Amino acid sequence: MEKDAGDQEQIIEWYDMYSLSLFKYILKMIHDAQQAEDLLQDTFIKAYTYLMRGKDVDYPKTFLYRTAHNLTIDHIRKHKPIRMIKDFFNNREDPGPSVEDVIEIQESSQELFDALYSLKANYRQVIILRRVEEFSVKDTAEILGWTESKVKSTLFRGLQKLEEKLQKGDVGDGQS
Amino acid sequence: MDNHNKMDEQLRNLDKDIQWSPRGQQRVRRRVIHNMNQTTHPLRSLFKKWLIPTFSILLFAAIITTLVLSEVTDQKIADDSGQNGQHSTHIVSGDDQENASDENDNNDQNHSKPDHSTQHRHNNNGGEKPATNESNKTDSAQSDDTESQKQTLTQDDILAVVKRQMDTDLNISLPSTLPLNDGNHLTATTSSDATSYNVTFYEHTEPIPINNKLLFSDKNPAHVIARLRVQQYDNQAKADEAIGHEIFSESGGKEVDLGPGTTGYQDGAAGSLFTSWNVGRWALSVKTSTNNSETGLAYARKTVQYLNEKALPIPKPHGFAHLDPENNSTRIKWQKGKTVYTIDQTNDPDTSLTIAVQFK
Repeated sequence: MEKDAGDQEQIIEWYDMYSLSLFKYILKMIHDAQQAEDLLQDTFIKAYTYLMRGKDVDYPKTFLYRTAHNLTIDHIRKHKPIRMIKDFFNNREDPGPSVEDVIEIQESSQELFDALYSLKANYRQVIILRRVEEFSVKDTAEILGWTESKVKSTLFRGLQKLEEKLQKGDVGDGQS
Repeated sequence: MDNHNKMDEQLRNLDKDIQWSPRGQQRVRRRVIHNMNQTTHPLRSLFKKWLIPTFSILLFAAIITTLVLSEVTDQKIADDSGQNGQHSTHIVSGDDQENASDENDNNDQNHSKPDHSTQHRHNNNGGEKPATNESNKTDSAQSDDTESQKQTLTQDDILAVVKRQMDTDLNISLPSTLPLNDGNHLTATTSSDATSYNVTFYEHTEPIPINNKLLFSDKNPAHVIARLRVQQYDNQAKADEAIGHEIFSESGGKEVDLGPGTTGYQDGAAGSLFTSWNVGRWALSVKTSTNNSETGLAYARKTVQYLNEKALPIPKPHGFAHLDPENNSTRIKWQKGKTVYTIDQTNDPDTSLTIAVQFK
């Protein structure tokens, strides 16, 4: 019981430290504020069950990002067809709070926010981790489960794509 | 190159330009804490969510079932006591000893000082007093709710049911009628085994089923009329000893005239006066206090006259009647070989005699 309480305190402490940046990372990945909150919650519950199994976490930030990344990628894979159908009909039964209700994005950054989302997931996640969250190549590789060289090469190509999109003003949903 | 640097700068500042409402952040925080608690105590959560309601429902169902079964059982007891005449021994054979104890308790409560005015019981003997039996509501003999469920039974019907209630190797002999006060209903408790049977007859203003548990309870509203005990002994000698036959002309005492051809003997001891006589194979003795010698003599003469009209059963070989007009210790015993019949717990000796003369 004491260990459970200790694990819970640890998770709450991590939540207070990293939840904001984790939420923004997930949000940039999926562009759905409500879903981002759900995935953020799942991230901390998964971290809690990890601690409950008696495992240690040396680098909590990297650990939490890796957990959030895995959950987000799983979500994208599972919900991509559904999202396309929803977009097609544009008719959510229970839309919940809109992005605007939950978050606010400065107009100056909206174009970049949308441009990032229009990139392929690989480019998007590596750019966010390296350039927005400013993780090192090593940590980014650990979070994504890639080699460091893949991180560098994918980042290079991703930034080129992003620059092209911003110059062309092509920030539609077509991900490339 | 400038564009590239500008984009890097925009990317670094992107998070600063995204605001997540503190309310949303707290909402997720609460959900995380709630989920952690559920993850920590899944059994407790399961217990609260499912087991407690499920157990409550099952407990409620069990209580209802028990109540229904109890009602059905009572109904069956009542029905068995009624006209259908199905053999039922589950009450009779259950706790004979306990029942006997209850009977004694009840009898102690129900007996009052005898009153010579109870002669009117004799007057009721000849009539077929309608008796009733109820089919339900064991503890509501006085309830108007049961009126519609009552069935009118004659004493013959009730005595037939009493016979069926007992399981014994003996031939069951019962009186044909019991002296009831006007408007009262006959009922009884029974117990039996291979070599004995006991029947305690009760009367009450409301019908009560035979062997109804109310009759065994402290709240028994019925009054005892008499108890019949029949016991088969192992041998004749033990039965003889139980009777304790006496020949009073040999015992001595003051001779008194009890009527034509009948001589009695009065003998006093410890404040009691016994007026005793023998007739046939019977020995009879009237007990009064020494201060009431005339009462004893008068009652003995009245009894002699009564027995000239109504014959006591023919004992084999002996019978003994201890008649007590002043107290309720009257006992009439007679034997048929190894089997001894006893009538006691009556409120007065007249009742005992009235019942005894119905046996052969």
